[in-house]
Amino acid sequence: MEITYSILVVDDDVDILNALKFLLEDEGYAVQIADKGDYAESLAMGNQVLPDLIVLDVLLSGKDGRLICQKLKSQDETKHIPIVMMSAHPNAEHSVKKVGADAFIAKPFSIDNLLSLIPSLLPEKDNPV
Amino acid sequence: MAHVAAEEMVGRHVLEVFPDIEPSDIHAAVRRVMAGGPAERVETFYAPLRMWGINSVYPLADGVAILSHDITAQRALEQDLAFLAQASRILSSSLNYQRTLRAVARLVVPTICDWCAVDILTDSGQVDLLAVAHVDPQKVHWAQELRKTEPVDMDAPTGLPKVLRTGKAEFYPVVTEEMMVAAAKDQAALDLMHEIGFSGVMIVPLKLRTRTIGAITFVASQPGRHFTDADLATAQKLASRAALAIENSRLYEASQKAVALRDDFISVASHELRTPVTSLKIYTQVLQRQAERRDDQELSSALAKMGVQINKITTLIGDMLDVSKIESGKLAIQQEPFDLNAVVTEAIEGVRAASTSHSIGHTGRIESDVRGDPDRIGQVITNLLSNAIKYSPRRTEILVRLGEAHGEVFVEVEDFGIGIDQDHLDRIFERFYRVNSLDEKTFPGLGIGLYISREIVHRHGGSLEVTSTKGSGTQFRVTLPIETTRDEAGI
Repeated sequence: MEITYSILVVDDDVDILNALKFLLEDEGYAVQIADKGDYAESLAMGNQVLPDLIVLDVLLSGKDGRLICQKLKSQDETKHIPIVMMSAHPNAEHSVKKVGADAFIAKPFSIDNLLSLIPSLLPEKDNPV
Repeated sequence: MAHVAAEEMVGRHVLEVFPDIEPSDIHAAVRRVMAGGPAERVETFYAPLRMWGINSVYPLADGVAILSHDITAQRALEQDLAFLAQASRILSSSLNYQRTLRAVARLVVPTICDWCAVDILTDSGQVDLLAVAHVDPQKVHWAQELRKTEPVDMDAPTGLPKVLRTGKAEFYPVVTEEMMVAAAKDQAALDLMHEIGFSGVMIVPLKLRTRTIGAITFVASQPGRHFTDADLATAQKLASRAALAIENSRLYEASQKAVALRDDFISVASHELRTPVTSLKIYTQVLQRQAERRDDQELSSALAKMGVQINKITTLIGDMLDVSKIESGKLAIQQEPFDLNAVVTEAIEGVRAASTSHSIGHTGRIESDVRGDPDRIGQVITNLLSNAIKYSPRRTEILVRLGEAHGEVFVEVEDFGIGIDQDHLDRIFERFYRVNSLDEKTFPGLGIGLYISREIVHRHGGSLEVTSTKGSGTQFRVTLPIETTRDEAGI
């Protein structure tokens, strides 16, 4: 049986979110999207089913994605989840690595880069989610 | 001499007719010549009559002969020209017309008048006192305060309001007590007139073509000091120069505003365009992958072409964003050691993938490290290669050479295309500059690629230069400094 990985994408631009959902679903992932940082933050409370990977924008309306990343990486329940941070600011790479992000991609990103990056970060799985 | 009738002078002593002469230069000259000195020429100013003269004093056997020549008109013309030249210098010294008009008001006091005021009509029809000048700063302050408590009555039948309404000068060369009494609407107004002191008044309009935008008021306020037709002519010449300066300044302000609006628009437009183009690109790529999976080659090829076009739009939007970043000083340049050979190879491969019409030859290798932003330098090389292809439609060869010389590294991109006219060569790095000539077709583009490229190279401490021969090709040369900290850092 083929394993389905779940990915959470957080970006405040709904058009980009929907396009990424279309792209990642076409690749066979189960995709959740959130246009606000609140949902990703609430993951740390243990209320939601945890995704296998998070794609997180640095600049969210009203919130800094890096603070969310730091929070998720500091909690036992969520610190194992790989986080890919993206930003239109090419100099953001250093600061996202500091808050524990596993990878950084600069916007506008190449789709091929994103699609080759994701499998390299996903954990080996025995059972489907 | 004028103003004194001949019959009044004949037979009388010179000091009786012109009592002020005694302490003057001419008197001293006469004494010297009479004491046996040689003939002299003396220039004199006779204050009571405001007259200039040239006097030749010749020794005679029993005294001196003085031949006087009235040069007042000539001297007035010289002073007038010198004054207007100085006023023009002040007016053209800055595009801030408020400042220059204040300087002009200070210039006319006290040479032309005792008071000078510059009034400008605002857009709402109010009169704005832009400048007041008087030798006494306390009086300037007093006049400014007075304007606050006694605003200009725009319906007044004479004076400044009339000049602003009609665009015609008001000229009262000699103001008498009777005139002031007749003009004052009450005792308080008359007291005010006495306080200012009026012996002569000129109010000349500041006119732009047919529109009156303000006026300059000249007031003489010393007993006996009056204005002449020549003074009015000078005042009007000054006003027309000042009006021109105001117009230049306003046009400059308007153009600066337009440029700022354009830059804002480019920034907003490019940001707004980026998101839809990014999602469009994602959808197109997903559809293309799906078509490939279904082995639908026709659809896949059409979607691939769409992708190429979307990439062109993305590049254009990126260029527009870069221009607005450069303009606002926000273009970020990374600082890291990088391999220029790899950057050039990657740029060549990227251009090859997008265009199969040209073959790109590649020679030379750089051994030294270069420091900077590999993505931005890659952008420069890609831009130069794209230009080389674009401007050599009938030739297929492009040459890229890398090398080191004089402590620097260089990358040359050469084409054998249409070349660039010498007239355009100095200007192709200007923002929005595009070569438009009648004898060749116009090539598409925004005219910002080379502007961005040169800015990026300059930010690396390097240079971007061009040589070209019309009809036989163009060569661009990027020069970058070599990273010198390599040995010190022990890398």
